[in-house]
Order: sequence, then structure tokens, then C-alpha cells
Amino acid sequence: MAVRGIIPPHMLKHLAESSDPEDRKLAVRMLMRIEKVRGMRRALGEVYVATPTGGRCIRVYDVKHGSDSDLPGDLLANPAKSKDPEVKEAYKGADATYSFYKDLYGRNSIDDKGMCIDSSVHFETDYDNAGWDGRQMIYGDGDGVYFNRFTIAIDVIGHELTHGVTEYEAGLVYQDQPGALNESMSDVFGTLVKQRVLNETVDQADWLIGEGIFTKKVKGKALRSMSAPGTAYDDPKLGKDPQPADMKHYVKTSEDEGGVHINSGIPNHAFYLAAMELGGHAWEKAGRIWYVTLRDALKPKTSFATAAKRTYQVAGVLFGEGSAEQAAVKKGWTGVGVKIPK
Amino acid sequence: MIIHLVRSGGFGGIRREVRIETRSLSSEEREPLEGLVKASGFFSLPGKFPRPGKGADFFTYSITVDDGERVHTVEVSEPSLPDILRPLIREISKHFSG
Ligand SMILES: [Zn+2]
Repeated sequence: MAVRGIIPPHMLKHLAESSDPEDRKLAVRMLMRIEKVRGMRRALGEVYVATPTGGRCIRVYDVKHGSDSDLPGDLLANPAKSKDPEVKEAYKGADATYSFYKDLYGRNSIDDKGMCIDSSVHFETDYDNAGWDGRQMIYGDGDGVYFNRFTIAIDVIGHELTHGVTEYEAGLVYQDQPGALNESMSDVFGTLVKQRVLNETVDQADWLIGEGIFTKKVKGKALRSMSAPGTAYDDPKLGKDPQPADMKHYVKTSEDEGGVHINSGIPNHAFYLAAMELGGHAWEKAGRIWYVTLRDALKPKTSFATAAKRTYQVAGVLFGEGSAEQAAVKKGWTGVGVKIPK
Repeated sequence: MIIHLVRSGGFGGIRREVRIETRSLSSEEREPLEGLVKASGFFSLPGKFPRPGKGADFFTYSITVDDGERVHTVEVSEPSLPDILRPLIREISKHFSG
């Protein structure tokens, strides 16, 4: 499905006439986007182009167990055909994520300007982590005892790449609620990349984050669960999945930038509930609403409640005021104890 | 010497913690640890290194060392670990339970 350019302007009128200046700004931003899409369609309509593919630039580097000062490392030729599974997975995951954003939402890479997507594998030694450093993605091999290599799960790659998208768009601050929203956006699009690759509907999907990263030694199926936050693992050495599924169990902590990887369970579950309500392929409706919200409607210090309001408004703009899509978004947030503010 | 390390954050958000009393270690384990504390000039380091403004999913460390006379805590985040602390953090991390 290509970018939908047909948005009834009366839906925007509602926002444009709101007493809240943030609502009015959102209306202006969305109108500008629509005009841009319409212009693009006109341009494309004149000359038949199957699918514009320009801008796909995906590079994989081997940092050979070095640290951040050694990044990115050696550029690898032909990563798609590499015999090193980490190289191949890093390439294929980035490629699938690029296609996901391009085919479904018309986004051209992390910055929407076709920037190269760079990943470095074999970061440090026995490194139990993956990350986005503001320029590129990095992947550790895992310690081999509790953790496998992080590229093993394609949603991890979608997650890391989405951190880049968020940095270029909403710029959600990596702290407290905006930080947990930042994390949640990465989980949402990470899991949608996986669902699309597997062509899964909402009922077929596992809604797990990082499935396959734990070795058999660990009692747990993944690092997080969007369908049942707090249940992904329970292991004598690593402890129990600390994610809450609703506001009543919001975790107040100074660690992990205010629990950004913990409280993300709340917006994650809101997305899951909305997507389940809508059925079918989650990327078509719920994913689209979340994407347009991330791109156009959030600010760096957005709270859960404001994010809820924005997704609700965007659902109204994309699918109509009072639509089933808008009701599903409301149901999602209500299900995690976030009331949509007026 | 007592060394206490808490690692939080990271993609998995899995908290790890270790408290080491160096005198209960073998000399092969104790010497590199105490040596790296000394080499890093730990007690003169700032209590908090600024977190980089960009990036996500990196580990955050809180390290406290008590040498019997002084107690000092340093908080630092990846990806910009100062080179002076990286070997110490890696050495302490070897002692995470399991
Ligand atoms: Zn993340």
C-alpha cells in the first residue's frame, strides 16, 4: 500500500479550529505533508515509475571486537551473501526495515532523505547488547552463555533503526515518559517489521521483542512481550521481566533513564490492544496511525497522555472522526489506564 | 577494597549488580581490579559523566569504590565511556553472578 494522499480536509478543520495551539500546529503540519504527498503523486503520474528504489543504501561493517572509538570498522563487500550469520542478518534486517518504511509509509530511510543505513557487527567482546549511537547501529555477539548474538532477532534491527527515525522526527527525549515512548516506538515498528516479513496477521504474531536472543539456559522466551508485558522471562540469574502493562504499575526509578525499557510496556500494550481490535495486518492501520503520529504529531517531551491524544487525533484525520480506527486507538489507551485528554 | 557496580539500561533493560570485596578474591583476580581502580585515578574522577544527547539502548553504569579511607561513586553511560574507565568496567563486569 502506498502513502495515502486522500485525507478529507474537514477532518483537519476540526483540529485547525481547536482552542489548543498544539492541535492547530498539528493541523498545519499535516496539511503540509498532504500537499507534499499530492505533489509527489502528480510528479510520479506524469512518468510511469514502478517503485522508486533510489536511495537504498545499506552498509555493514565489522568492528572486529573494537569499541566506539573503532567504529564503524571495516566495510564489508556483499554482506547479503556473507557466511557470517551476524553480517547477513544485520544486512537483511536493515534491508527489510528500509523496505517496510518505504513501501508502507513512503519513508526514504532513517532521515527520509535516503541516508545510508550503517551497521557494525562484532562490537566489543561477548557484548550483550545492541544500540543506536546517533549515527549508526551496533550489534554485540552476546556472551554465548545467556545471550546469543543480537542480530538473531529481526525486530531488534527494526527497533534500532527506528531509534534513528525517532531522532529525526519526534526527537523524543530519552528519559522518563518521553523516553519510554521512544523505546515503545522502536518496539512497535521492530515487531511490525518482523510481522511483515513473516506476513502475519495480529492473531498469528507472537508480539515478542528479541525472541531467540536468550540461550536455552535462560528461562524465558524473549526480552519483552507486547501482548503480556512482564511475562517474557523469569530466570534465577537474570530476574523477572519488570515491565508493567498499565499505569497503575508504572515503575518509578532513577536507573535506565527513568525506566525507559521498563515503562515502555505501557504504550507497547496500548498499541497491541489497538491493533488486536482492528485485526488484519497491524502495519496497515494501527502502524500507520502510530507512524504518522511519530512523524508529525509528537514533541521531544511528550507524555503518555499527550501521545494518546495525538494518536487519537491522527486516527481521526487518517480514517475519519468517529471511525472504528479511532475507537480502537481509544480502547488501546484506556486498556492501559491512560485517559485521552480533551 | 569494596567495589560495587550497577549496570542498567541496554536493549534488554536487564539490571545487573555486583559487590566485590577484593580481599576475598584470589590474587589473580584482585590485582587487575585494584590496579585498574588505581590506574583510572578513580577517586579524582567526576561523579557524573555527561550522557551523550543522541543514541539509545546503551548501558549505564554506577560504580562505587570504598578503599577504607575514601568512598566515591561515578556514573557513566555508553557509548561514550571514557577510555580510562572502560577496562575497569569490563573487569568488574566479569564478576556478575553467572
Ligand atoms: Zn531501544
